[in-house]
Amino acid sequence: MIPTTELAQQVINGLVMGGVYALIALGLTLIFGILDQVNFAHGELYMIGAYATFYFTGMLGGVYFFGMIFAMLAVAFLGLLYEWLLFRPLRGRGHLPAIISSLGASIFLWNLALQVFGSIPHQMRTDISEITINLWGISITVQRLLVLIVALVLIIGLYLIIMKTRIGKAMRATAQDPEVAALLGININRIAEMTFIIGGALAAAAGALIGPIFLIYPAMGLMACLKAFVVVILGGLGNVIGAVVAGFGLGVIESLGAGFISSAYKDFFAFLVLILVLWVRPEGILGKTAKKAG
Amino acid sequence: MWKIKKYFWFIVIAHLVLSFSFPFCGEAREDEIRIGLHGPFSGPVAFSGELMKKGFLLAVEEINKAGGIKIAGKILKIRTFVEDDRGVPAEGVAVTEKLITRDQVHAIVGPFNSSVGLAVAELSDRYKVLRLVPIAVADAITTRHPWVFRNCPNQTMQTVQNAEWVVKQGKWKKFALLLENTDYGRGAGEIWTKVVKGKGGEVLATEYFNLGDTDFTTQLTKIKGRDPQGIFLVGLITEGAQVLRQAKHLGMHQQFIGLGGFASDKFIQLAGGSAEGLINNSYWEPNPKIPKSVSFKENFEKFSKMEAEMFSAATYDAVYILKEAFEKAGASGTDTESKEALRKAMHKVDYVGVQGKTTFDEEGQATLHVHIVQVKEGKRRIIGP
Repeated sequence: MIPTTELAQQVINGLVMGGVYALIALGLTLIFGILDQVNFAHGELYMIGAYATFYFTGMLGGVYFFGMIFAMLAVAFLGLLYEWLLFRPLRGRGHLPAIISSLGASIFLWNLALQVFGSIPHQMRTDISEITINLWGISITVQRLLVLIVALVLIIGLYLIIMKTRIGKAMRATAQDPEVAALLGININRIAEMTFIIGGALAAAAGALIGPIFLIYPAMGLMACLKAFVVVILGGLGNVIGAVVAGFGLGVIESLGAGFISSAYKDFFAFLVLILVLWVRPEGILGKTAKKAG
Repeated sequence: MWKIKKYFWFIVIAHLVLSFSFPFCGEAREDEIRIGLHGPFSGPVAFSGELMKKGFLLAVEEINKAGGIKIAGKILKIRTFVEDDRGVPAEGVAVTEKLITRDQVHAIVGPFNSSVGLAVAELSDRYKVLRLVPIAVADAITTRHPWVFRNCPNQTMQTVQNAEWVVKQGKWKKFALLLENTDYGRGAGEIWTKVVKGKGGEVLATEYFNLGDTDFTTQLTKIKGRDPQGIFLVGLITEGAQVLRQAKHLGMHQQFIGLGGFASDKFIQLAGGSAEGLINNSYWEPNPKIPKSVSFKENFEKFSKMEAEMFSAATYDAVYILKEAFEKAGASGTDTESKEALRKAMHKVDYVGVQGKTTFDEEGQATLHVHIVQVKEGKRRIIGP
């Protein structure tokens, strides 16, 4: 007999992690869907987003919200640099060169972070990170609640940009067929820049949200990036709605699997789900609708 | 332009050749004692490695300043050889080979990580070069290796002493375990469970986390649901600090009882206020009953600008223990007879250092006791033996 409060608590724990997975995976899946490229240095955007929030918050008088906005702006610019330095020079040469250049960037950035910020984790506290709300036996900190809320707001915002704006329309057109889109007057380079800016800002938001809950350290992007890849594949490559569903789904599955079966196999559940989905539906959970939504 | 380029490459190559060959030229002299040290001076545990290195260097500086080591009427200075093993077993083997064959050290101090210790222990027996382990705890590092000694309590000693103290208090009967998913964490969990169950305690849940994990709410929620009175936590600084913080966020009030790398001020700082009340093992604390421990704290903090804690203290003592062994052996050669004399002298060591009195049993394990400490108002206080 599973007590309902424990079940509810585990689902909420899973949803919070799921929100973070979804935010990181969204940028990855956009880059894949629109530009047909794989960014192995995506976890570093998340890591630098967390450090940037830490330092900006300190500089801006301790206001966490400002720190987060500035971090998103700074990392959006870093995303733009990714496009200019890592991806544009290699565009049109297939997947492999870009994979290698982004893998190199990942190793470079987390070792740089190790030199600049040191190997000792940074701890960030905000006004809301230590306040716990208790409701019907379920405990959640305000910061964790904020993760869920901000993640949902950003996801809805992104969806509106893609579906309702001109640039969103151009992004969808590029995803369908870059050559025809270019023929119709869409500047593919602008679209690529926009995609990396959005991806960078979302990853930075994930880092900013999680910073006050966990610790901030140079290697934090590695596992996060791996999980985001699982989410992207589960949701269908390039599928935005798929990434959101898979992100939250993965968070909850991990939490329930570890909570009610065995915590020794927490990561095992994530990859088990991946293998099962690849086996039964290799195109991803929502794979069929990939191009329409992305 | 062309010529400059040519010269440039010549200079670069010349530099490389010189910088690679010179350190290896250090000829083994008769009038010195060569002691090697290796530990994780880069990588994820670099911070703890640095504490270890500073403890070593302070002891060497003090001994050399006071004259050196007296062997058969002569006074010899210590020369140090410090190598980085990055906490990787293969690197540990490589630097040990280098210390023994090239630098011809008389003895080696280190390593930090148990996995490295298990990999290098074999080499000490093969080359018959004495090794003194100040930090790595895995039992098997010393048990089968006559040339390897250890001057900190091993894993079984630490875990058993912790569990026995906990049971003796009689305050807690029902426990949950939260363990690092490694040989170290799982091993400690097994031993601890056996002792506690043997004395009538109950274990309601055993949960694991992986190195590098950041979210522990799943495990903690499950433990919270079982409602134990005490939680036995095994791990290192980064994971441990987050566990305590997240437990507080979940509104948990159970007593945490820790084993592992939590006995430093840095840990208390990382955990924020959530470390308050934590009970933990520590095999060294400044203790007024041991005068040397108080002066060591002062000298070490002046020397290194870092906090004196158990890693630096054990490595500091290791150098003085070697000094006593050399003086008892009365030999400083690198021939088999001198080496054997040194090894035998280790068993006769009866040294009172910053950790208190150290003697070695027939397996080369020092008989030492751990302290049980509790965090009160952000500081560790000794509450157990």
